[in-house]
Amino acid sequence: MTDFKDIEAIWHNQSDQSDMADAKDIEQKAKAHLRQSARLHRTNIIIFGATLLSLVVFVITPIGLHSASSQLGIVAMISILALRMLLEIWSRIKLRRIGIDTGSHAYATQMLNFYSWRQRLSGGVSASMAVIYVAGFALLLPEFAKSMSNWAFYLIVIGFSILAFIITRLAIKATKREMSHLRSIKNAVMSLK
Amino acid sequence: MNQKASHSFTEIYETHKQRVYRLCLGYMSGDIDLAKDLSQEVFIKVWEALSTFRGDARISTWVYRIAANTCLMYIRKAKTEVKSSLELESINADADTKENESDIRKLYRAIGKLSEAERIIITFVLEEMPYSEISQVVGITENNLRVRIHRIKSKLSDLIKNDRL
Repeated sequence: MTDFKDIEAIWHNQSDQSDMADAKDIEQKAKAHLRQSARLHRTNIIIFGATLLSLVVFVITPIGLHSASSQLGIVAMISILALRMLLEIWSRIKLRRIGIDTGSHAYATQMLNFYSWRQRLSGGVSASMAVIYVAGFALLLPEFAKSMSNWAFYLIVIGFSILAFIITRLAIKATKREMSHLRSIKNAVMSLK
Repeated sequence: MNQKASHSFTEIYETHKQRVYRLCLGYMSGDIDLAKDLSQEVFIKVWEALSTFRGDARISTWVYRIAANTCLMYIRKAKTEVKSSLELESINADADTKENESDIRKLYRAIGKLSEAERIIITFVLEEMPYSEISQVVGITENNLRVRIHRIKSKLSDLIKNDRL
């Protein structure tokens, strides 16, 4: 079986796969997938939005922050959160614009560009944003120490540290996954050249 | 009636499911479970994108573009090793002779050793798709495609020739 004609003959000798899903089942799965994506998108917006809103409410209430350093800190935290939200929305728009029905060469190249952009975002940009966010929080601490009881102060510091640790772990995991995608897409693009 | 309106999802699925499945089976080196999952993923994407089909390409070209791109991205998610002959044993076992089974195993194992793009192209060639359509799906010129097909054919023949079962 080395002549290509023989290979073709073998290929055409295959029988059809009989136990494939029904079209209605695929439609149901597609609808469920669509609902799940929409739910995930809504959840992300609600989480980001609620955090942002609570920070804004905190800063505008009369019992809020008074010192210049605290105000600078909260502005830094709000700005970073808002910027992160915008970047995620922009990222979704960019990904959606890559039509899966374009030729494979163009599609893989666009996906490569997208993941390269995400790599830049996940690297220096995200790290800088995280540092600014933590620095913003640190600027709030002197005023928290003055205005809160000890246990409440330590609760906030420990809570923030645990949250920061979890978010950092998740971000590193997501970044590694995206970098692995990037490497594989590079291989796919190279194989198309 | 425009071309877009004339295509229902069921019609598209029934027309293309076997070809898309064989395409996925070729990509996945003959792994039936992965090929089934992958062809389902392809048709979920087809369903999602159907409202954006503008009718400026043949519906088959449009479906195979989605299939090829889904496969390319699926491979990046779950890079598969070429399956052992035991795992490939069940391919059409009831329909083909023992000799055919062995040849099909060899063929899928050989396809699995090609690069991602080579797997896409050779599967379309084996499916007897016109070169003009393959070039539209893959997004390379027809001349470039002819050269590549020539190379892939001889590479595939060599791989099969050198395969030790």
